[in-house]
Amino acid sequence: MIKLWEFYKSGDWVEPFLIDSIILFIAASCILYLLIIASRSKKIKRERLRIEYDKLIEKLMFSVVFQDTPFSEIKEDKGYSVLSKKAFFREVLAESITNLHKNYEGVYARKLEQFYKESGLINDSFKKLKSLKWEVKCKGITELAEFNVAEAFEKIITASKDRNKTLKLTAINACIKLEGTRSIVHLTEHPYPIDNWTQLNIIGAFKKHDIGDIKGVEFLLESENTTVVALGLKLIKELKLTQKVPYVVQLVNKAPNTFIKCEAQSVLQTLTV
Amino acid sequence: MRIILSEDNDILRKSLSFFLESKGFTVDQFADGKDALKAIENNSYDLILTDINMPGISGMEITQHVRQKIGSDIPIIIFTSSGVEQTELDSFDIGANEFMAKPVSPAVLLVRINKLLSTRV
Repeated sequence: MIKLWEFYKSGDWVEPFLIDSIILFIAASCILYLLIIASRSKKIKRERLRIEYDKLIEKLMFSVVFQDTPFSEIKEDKGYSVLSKKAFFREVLAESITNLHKNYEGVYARKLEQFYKESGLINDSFKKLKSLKWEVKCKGITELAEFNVAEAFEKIITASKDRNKTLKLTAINACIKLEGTRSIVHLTEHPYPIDNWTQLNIIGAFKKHDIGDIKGVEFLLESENTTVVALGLKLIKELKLTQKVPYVVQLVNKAPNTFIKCEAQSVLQTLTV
Repeated sequence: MRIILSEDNDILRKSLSFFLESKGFTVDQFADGKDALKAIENNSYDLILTDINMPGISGMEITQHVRQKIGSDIPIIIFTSSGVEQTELDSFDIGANEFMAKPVSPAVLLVRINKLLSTRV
């Protein structure tokens, strides 16, 4: 300890310390600068590639949708056969086809769905579900739901129980689009409170996808979780499910607390007036 | 027949343009509302096809400008991703001839375009 104190007092350490610090600072700056340059050039390269790919993708999409070109013919296209093996091309293709499918309906949307399956993009979406990154999972879920891949339901419902809120909401939305009320019945055993934002999202998804089959909403009213019961009541009220009135009447008689009782009475009032 | 297509979603705009051109129309496409409005002021079109939410000027503003400032009765079709009833009512209120909610069917769009153009001729 004394030696260390004497070394400190002698001041011999100051010069090498300063030199080392400066070297360290310059080295760190250089490394960071190089990292920024590398990241920027990677992004610029990707953007250039995206523009290049977009041209081919547009050509392909338009021939599939408007000229009834079969996939067997597209596969033989030199540009497509080379690029379809590249992950980034497939990513851009999936984004474009999903975007177009969101905006088209009827026979043109069906053609895009067929292309999505035949080109193997569907398998890429399933792979995305296995990713450890939540944002990649969300992308996969959105694609599968957009193309109405009902087989993905069981996998997506697992994601709807995730702790990450964005992933959870994306999965619930997707499940509602694919299977309607079947996707929320499991909430009856949900152990944690469902916040208002999530409830609003669920109601919004039902309204957006215009779910006709509303079997099972009444099960939410039997949950021991009062936020799930509140969600059930809101769904009945917002979707004007008058056929569920008997279940709401039952709830009024055996409501677990005053809040639920008042909510149930309010729903009854709205639906029976 | 010359159509102006104003839509900021690139792939949708290009695909609709491709579709309409394959049906024999001449299509001028714009991703920005301001540019579309300039083109409308400087050229003569048979029909305006516009999205509501766009950078620059919205489809609603374009419709309002065409009806009130230019005083033209050129057919206008508005399409939007908004499913709100009031948006549809407002569109007709300011002078749109047709309203289509996205997702759209190009085949239905073509029928509506032809119907509007035939009633005008």
